[in-house]
Amino acid sequence: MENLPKEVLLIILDYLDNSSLKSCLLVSHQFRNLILNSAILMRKLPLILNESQGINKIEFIKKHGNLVKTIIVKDHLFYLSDLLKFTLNLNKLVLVDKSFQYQVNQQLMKIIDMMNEEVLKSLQIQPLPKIINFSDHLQHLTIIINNEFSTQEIFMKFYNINSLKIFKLFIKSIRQENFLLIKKFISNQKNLQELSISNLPIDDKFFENYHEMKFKLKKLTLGWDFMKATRNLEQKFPNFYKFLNSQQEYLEVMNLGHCGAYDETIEESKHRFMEWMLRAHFKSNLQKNLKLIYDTENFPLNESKKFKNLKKLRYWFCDSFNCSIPNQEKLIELDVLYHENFTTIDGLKNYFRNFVSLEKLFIRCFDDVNDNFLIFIYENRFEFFKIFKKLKGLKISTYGYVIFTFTKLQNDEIKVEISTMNYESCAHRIVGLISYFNAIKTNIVEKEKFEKILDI
Amino acid sequence: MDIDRPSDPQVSVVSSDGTMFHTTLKSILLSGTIKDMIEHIGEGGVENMGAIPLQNVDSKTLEIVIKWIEHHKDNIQPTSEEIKDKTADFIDPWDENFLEMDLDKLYNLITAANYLNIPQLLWLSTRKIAMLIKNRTPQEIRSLFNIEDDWTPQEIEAVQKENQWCEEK
Repeated sequence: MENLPKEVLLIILDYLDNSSLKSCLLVSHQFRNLILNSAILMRKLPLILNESQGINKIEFIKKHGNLVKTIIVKDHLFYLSDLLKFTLNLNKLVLVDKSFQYQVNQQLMKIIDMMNEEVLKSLQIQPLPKIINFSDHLQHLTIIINNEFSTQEIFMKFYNINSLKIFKLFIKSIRQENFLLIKKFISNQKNLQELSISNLPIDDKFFENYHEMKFKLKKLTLGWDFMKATRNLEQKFPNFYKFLNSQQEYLEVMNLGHCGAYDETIEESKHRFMEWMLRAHFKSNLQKNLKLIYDTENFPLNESKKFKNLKKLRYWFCDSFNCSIPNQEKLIELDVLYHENFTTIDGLKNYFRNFVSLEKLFIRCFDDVNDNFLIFIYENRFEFFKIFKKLKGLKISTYGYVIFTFTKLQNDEIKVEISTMNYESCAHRIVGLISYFNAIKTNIVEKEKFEKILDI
Repeated sequence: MDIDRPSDPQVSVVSSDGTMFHTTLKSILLSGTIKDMIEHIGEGGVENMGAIPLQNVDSKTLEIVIKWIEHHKDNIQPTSEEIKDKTADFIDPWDENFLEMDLDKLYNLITAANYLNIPQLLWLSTRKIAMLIKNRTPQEIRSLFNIEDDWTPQEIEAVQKENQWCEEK
């Protein structure tokens, strides 16, 4: 393997996730040097800083800091500004809430001052000194803040950054003056491709003049606060209407988020908002590029004829007793929550009868129904796969991380993947499943890993 | 030369150890390297050009490559650029079976796919190696791929300490 050309070894390493890449760092000098000298691979390895661990990372950062692309700050770090001097090519900075817990945080302000100072130098078109030039490289900024003071300080200091491609903002509460700061900050971005605003009670005024933005968004995520719409949506959201029209040609993912599940008023107004948006303002020929994510109960599919060209859709579930699902001939990818109808073949047939073109189906389970459901699917696999004429892949998630895969359930055309949130907490059930699927000679990838964890 | 002609003429290739293989033009054009060579020959060149020498591919490997390109000759092949965005969600079961081979053969196949510039085959074969690496410890990776452990005890202690930069605790 060591004799493979360097470019091929890099291709192989590039397929690996963080965890495997970290293992490869310890395999040999050759592997380690390949990874440390590849900006692409180093970009995959986040630099995670917190109070207890950060000290140990100083030497590494001094040595390899110019390759570090991502920093996640989890704690208040008194020495962070010193470390940033060595990370000249930083692409992504994640500042989570704990970093801002001290309102009078002189060190944090020092960091932000330092970044701002560099911005000023570049604006004056002076030859750039060989010190931190942060803002030119910053492409991804995620900010999670709980208090007003930090919001104001950060956005005042970040004011001149305009190189972001991804901006994610989570704020619990906000005053009007800070609201304007954020609005101005976003409008400064010229290359933004992904915008996510959650928990921020923005209104239509926030999008005033946004239709004139130069950025072309591929992904837009909005929290439910924005959806507290009433009737006459076009009058209520004239600015957002213009903004959406200006962006819909580029949008690939529209995430309307998770709304207040038990608040019927919000649910209803959100449905109306979504229907309005798709019916009136999302041109049907552009829907084919769009993945719509709409995590809500009772998805209003009976009103969905106007988005018949949609190709990819994620929603929680639709109560098939109250909702007739029109044919979704173009839909190739569907991601739904486990539903009690799925426990019988007739229920499954009824539920999916109109999704005639599905190629990928993703079912998420959240209860203890998991293993019974998996066994049900296995025992009824021939009937199950008859429902879908074009299905190439089925994924069943019981929470999150992929733990094992079994393949060739029915024939060679369909791949099935099962995942769960946390294999350690689900260990007793996994033992049962492994035994079950072993008994039927199903190939379980990563089985060795599980045997190790479970000490089988 | 019109390489998109409806007929599919025979083409011969010769491995580094002198074995000649015959295949079709449509199949061999999946190789970007050979496609470039043929495109430079010009009018009427294919029928008269003789066997194409492939100095970097031995006969055992070339036989495997030809099996793959002949199976995929009618499929639309992604470009190197398109491969970069490709996810590993669904692999053709034929390809999965095809790649069931020992590691030495797989390395030779990867080297050949790289040399012949067959992006899809390179993607499949390198991905196969990546899947073998996944979720293994450094020692397991060394054992599986027969890689020499060239760390001294002092070095391994130092790099393990250094590695803490990407470990969340």
